[in-house]
Amino acid sequence: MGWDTAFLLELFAHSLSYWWVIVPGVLLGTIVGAVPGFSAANTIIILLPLTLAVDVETALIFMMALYCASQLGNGIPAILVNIPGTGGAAATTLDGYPMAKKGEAQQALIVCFVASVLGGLIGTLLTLVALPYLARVGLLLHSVEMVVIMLFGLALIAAIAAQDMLKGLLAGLLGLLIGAIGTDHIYATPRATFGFIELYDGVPLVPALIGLFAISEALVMIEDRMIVSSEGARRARSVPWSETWRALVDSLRMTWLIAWTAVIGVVIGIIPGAGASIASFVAYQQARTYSRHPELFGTGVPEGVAAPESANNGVTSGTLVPLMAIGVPGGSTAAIMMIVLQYHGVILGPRLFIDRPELAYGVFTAMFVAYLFMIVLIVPMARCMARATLIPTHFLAPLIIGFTVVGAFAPRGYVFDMVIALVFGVIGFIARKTGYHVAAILIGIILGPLLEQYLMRALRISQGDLMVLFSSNIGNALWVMLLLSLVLPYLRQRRRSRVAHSEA
Amino acid sequence: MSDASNGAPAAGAVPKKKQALGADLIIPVGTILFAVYYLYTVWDLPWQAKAAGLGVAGAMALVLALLAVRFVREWSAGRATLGLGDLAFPTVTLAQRLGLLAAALAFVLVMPLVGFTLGLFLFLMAGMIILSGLSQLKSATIIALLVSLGGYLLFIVLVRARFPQGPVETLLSSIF
Repeated sequence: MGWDTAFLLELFAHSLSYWWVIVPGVLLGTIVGAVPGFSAANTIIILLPLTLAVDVETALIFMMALYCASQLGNGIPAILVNIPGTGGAAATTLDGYPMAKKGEAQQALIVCFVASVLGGLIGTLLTLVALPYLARVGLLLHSVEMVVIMLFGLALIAAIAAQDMLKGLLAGLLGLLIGAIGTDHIYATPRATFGFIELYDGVPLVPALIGLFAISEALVMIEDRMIVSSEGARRARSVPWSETWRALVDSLRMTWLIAWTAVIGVVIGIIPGAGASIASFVAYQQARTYSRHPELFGTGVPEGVAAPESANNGVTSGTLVPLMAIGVPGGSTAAIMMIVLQYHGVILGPRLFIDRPELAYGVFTAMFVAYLFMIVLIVPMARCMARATLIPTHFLAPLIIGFTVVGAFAPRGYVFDMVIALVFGVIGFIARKTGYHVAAILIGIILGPLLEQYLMRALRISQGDLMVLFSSNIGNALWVMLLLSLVLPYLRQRRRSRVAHSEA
Repeated sequence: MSDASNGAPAAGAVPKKKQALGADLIIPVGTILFAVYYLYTVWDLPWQAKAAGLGVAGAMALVLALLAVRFVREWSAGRATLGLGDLAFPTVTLAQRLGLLAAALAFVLVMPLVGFTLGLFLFLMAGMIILSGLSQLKSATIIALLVSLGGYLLFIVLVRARFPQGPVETLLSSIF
């Protein structure tokens, strides 16, 4: 089916008529997204009896709204208390939390919401326009290309480590080794599991994330009365409405950054197995590389919030492309949606666009409408949410530990995972206090197993020949881009210092 | 304010006191022990199963060697001590931190027995008392009560999470 504006407008109006499903979906999605451990996938599984009981359109629109809103919700605790709701928001903490500490929590939240909504809208629009072509992207990117994409994410370790290269690199390598715990991808032999069967699938990501970010942060924050400085608290208490409006306008000025990082999100989302974590780290790394002031990244710049948030919301539409186009889910949430659709008798794949175009394209118009509702429902709440930074730490720290430890239990239902969260909390606390970057450890834990998986697959196909990594044109183009993104910041820094030197 | 956001020192911060190498060594020593254990478990495996670990451990050895040289130079130049720095001080904060961790561990172990709502309430009460003393008892009780009931409504009633059930859940299930 080609581009048909009238048909899409009709679908858009139809999706709008489901506002009574979208509003609760958005609110519930935002709440569960903001609680570490409660991903959209978990919530949709829990609500399966509901989605299976209603008609397919209602179920699909509700799931879409909940999924998109949960991606947005992930960024809220990342900014306010340095705790990402999922791995997809881990990169948001790098600049979001420093902004909150400066008393700019409201501005950071508005940047997060605007970037999420715009990123989601751009991603959805791109998907609607180019769905047949995007469906082929998943087929073009194989294990070789994925190895290079993973290296893009890992390159962020070097950027984070810039302040103390040796400590940053050690933290990243420690993360990679922790990520290599569990059975290997070829022979399924256990490695460094300490005898725990619960570690055979590798270190569970949610407890590790909760420990490294939430629990360690709670242990650090009790040194002060509030997480914001006294100056920051004064500013946060007396933020006029004009500031809210200005933050909104400032966020819209980053539309170009939001647009191209959303495209990164869509492309990475299309690849089965890849997801929001990779997209947000790659987007952050790229935004930093091509920024006019890369040295300010990590100190609380709005671009550092906009890039990962836009990318992880771009992933939401990308992840549905292989599901709708070839019947292969791009992620866990898409897999659960597939179960619901199949239960309702919907056969996914190329025939869907011919047999039921209203459903195939309706998924994306519903997503578009859900993002529009988020502007109205969530953005005005930023003022209210920002006040969370003013809660005294003697109340906040136990609340964070209580809720996040419970969040560690939620995905798998193991008490063991709560203990893992506490162990990582202690590791994260020591790392923070001694200058070993916890985000570098987390990047290693998230991307390490994926890199190993794709590398082993590529080497197995080539029977151990390392040159396979340079055997594809797309892969080689990605290698060049990776090299450029590593070298370019140094060249630009040298040029800047030369200019400064000649001016002096 | 703490400078420990994500482990990165604040931009422009000027170090006034000597570096505490005792604290700085915890992560490298832990890393070495873990790497040795990792290599021990993969040593006899086929190369595909140990390639990643060997590669990472090799890179680690190089970084650790450079870090060791830096630490020795700083210590011999008198710019660093072997103390634990502010990791262990002030002792009041250290005691609060250990108390909070102990309460969290107790919460993890007790929650399967007493259920989510009561377990969370008890942990929040204990945590807030550890950090603020008995002077804030009334506020702590109200917050712990509201939050644990809110948690019950959100997680157990609304999203039907499979959390351990206890007497409070049994009692409240007759209402919701």
